[in-house]
Amino acid sequence: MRFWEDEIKKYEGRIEKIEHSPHPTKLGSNRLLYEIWRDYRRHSLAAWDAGEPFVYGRGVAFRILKAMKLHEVSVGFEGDRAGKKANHYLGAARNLGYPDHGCDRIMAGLGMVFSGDLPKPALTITSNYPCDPENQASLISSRAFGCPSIGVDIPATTDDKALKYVVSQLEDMIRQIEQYIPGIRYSEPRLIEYQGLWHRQHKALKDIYRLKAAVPCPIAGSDSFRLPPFAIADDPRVAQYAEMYRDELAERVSRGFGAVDGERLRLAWLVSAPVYVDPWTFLAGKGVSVPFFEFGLAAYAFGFSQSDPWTGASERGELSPLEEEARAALINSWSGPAERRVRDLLQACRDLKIDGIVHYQLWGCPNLISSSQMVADRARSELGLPSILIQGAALDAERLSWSELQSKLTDFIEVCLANKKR
Amino acid sequence: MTMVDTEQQLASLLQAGAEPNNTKWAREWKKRGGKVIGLLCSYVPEEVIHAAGMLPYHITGTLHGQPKESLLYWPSNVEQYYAHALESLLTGGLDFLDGVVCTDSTDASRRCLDVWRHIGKTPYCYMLHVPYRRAEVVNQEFAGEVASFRDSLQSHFSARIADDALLASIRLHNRMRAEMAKVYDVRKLETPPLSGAEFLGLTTAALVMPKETFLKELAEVFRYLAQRKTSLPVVTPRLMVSSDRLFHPGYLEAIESQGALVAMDDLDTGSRYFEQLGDTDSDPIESLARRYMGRPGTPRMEDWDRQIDRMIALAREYRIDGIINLPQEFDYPRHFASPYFRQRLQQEGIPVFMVSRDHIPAHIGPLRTRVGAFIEMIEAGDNKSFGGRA
Repeated sequence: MRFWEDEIKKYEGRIEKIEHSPHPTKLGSNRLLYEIWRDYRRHSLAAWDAGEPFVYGRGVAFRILKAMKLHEVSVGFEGDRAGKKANHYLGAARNLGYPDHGCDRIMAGLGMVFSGDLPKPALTITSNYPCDPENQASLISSRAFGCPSIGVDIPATTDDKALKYVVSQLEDMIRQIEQYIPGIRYSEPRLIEYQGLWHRQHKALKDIYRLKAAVPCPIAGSDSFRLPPFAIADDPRVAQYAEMYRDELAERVSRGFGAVDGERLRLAWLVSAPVYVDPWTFLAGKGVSVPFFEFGLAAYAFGFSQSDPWTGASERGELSPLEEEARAALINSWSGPAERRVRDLLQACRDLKIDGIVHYQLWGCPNLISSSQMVADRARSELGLPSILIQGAALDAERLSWSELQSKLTDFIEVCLANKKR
Repeated sequence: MTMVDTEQQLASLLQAGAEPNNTKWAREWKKRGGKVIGLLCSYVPEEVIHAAGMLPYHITGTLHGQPKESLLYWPSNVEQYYAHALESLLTGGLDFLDGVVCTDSTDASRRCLDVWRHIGKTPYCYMLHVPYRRAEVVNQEFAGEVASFRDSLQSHFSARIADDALLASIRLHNRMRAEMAKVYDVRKLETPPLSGAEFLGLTTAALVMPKETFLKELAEVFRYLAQRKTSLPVVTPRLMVSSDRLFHPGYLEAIESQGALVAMDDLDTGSRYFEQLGDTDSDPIESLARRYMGRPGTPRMEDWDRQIDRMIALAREYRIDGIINLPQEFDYPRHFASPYFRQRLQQEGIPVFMVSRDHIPAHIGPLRTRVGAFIEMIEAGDNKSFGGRA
């Protein structure tokens, strides 16, 4: 069974579970989310079977690729979902000589690529930011399948010069895709339509961010990490899901509902999370909510970026469609200097009334591992917040045992409670 | 000067990049009232610093012991060159620096500069964006980066960097590169004057010394090099070593101790440092951008095939019997590119062997054993005559 067929079964199971025994504190909108995912996987499988072209690429161009009616695969994103087959895929990548200690999201994704569990790319899009391993995965794939590779270089600055530079490369990327894949044409009206869907979604996400600031936090457990699938930019239900999600939170806040009984602490959780265990239920059981999960595009998605000189410009029609895409590529919190990450993160901690920060450092991610201590120092000096730095993996349970993680989190909760009393 | 004197002079030059010598020239420069700017990446156009009348100094990091002070900021599972560089900073070994410049060429390099800035011991910290692609638009972008760097240096240090000074600096660096290319030519000899480890000593000398001084000292030993023969007991098989940010010759010594000659390198601290001259007939900023974007890249750059083609060409030119890929542990661009590099090199009939290394020699015993096995494989294998041996 191909990986995406497994995925369809997984989502069907979840939908059925929600239908027959809905969880008392989990969000009802999750059902729509799973339906979107199920249908996306079905659609992708049908395209694969029909021999339609797939592009391995980076988030830098996902809406543009949709506007060209192309199917996109992100190796890291697929790796994230490896679930029970993670060890199989990690082993496949390691057997081919990829680094044992590399980012396991990318390693699992490469394992899928080389196991034939993902469609072969017609071309790949590469980009330097936000991280090296994702870029390397695209370069590896283009060499492995002998397909063209198109690069979009992202500068470390966020200004109009940088915007122009990225736009010129996006224009060139479009020209090259049209040249390499017969019958594929870019449609600007289609891009504008998808950006319209994004604006609707973004508006709801900004509300969600604001609602998460409520005390007690209206959301807990794995729902804290639930996000609209941005990459499925052509499905209007994604915006609808974000609005449903927002409305549910608003209803909860209006009646003072807290998803964690007796909320004692509010944590920010950074970078990644172990998907092989469930720390969220564990934390909720100790009265801890997690209103903020840091990912590279969080500040863009929720509208709190501190390095975005174009805030609101898109909604005011001041950016061209490609400038809007360039802007999204430029303001990732994990790109450029660490100061960008620090400023975005501290802003989220202020906005969401955070009491402590868990840095879940992903092995193989030098970008975030080596900026953790300075983030922790700044959170302590500017906001008085304690941090814990935990090295682990997303998929590879060998890196960190569940008992060790529980013990570290338990100790950290005590530290945060003591700090809060001061 | 007698042969003994010249040999001593050569020995001293080959030790210039080693501790404690490697900061000697920078400290003297500083004592004379000059400014010293540390570089953490080979993509920084050092000509700009030189043209400002300052000393560009390539930071080697501590070359002994495991980092302790930097562990707080730089865990042991992130590329260790930067840990050793931060260790130098935190233990006072780089107190003479007036500034430090790095690039975002890898995740680790840009984060190292972030940590450097955060520690706050060096007054001036600057990061250049280095595009990872090859295209005209990219050269223009990098020219803008180089121009901004020049403006920043001028403004921070109240210095003036005129176009004439930049052109003079490009000429000086070209001279250094041309002289090094001549020296590298003798590596083609059956018995070259220096071992591979000694050649690394020579190139790291160029990284830490003022270029004028280096050129003068190199000129004094250049003729002698033509007569000299390496003291290595065995000069076959001829190996090439490929890596990034390798400063310590200990790894090459360990390889050669197993009965081989490191006859060529693919190192950014070696041949890649001086390959490709800067154009002196055009705008100096554009010339620098073209030179740095056009020089042989690291696996972080997207042009993997160009990098491998260069290695293949060098292997033929220098009659290489096998290539040792020595990625630093946790250097992800090189690690992820390695399976493809291996595949392409093997398709060309070049035996290739990969072993991870630290920044300073560690686990040398197992390395020697594995290198020994690789040498045996080359000597027994069908690829023995690859490239033809003189």
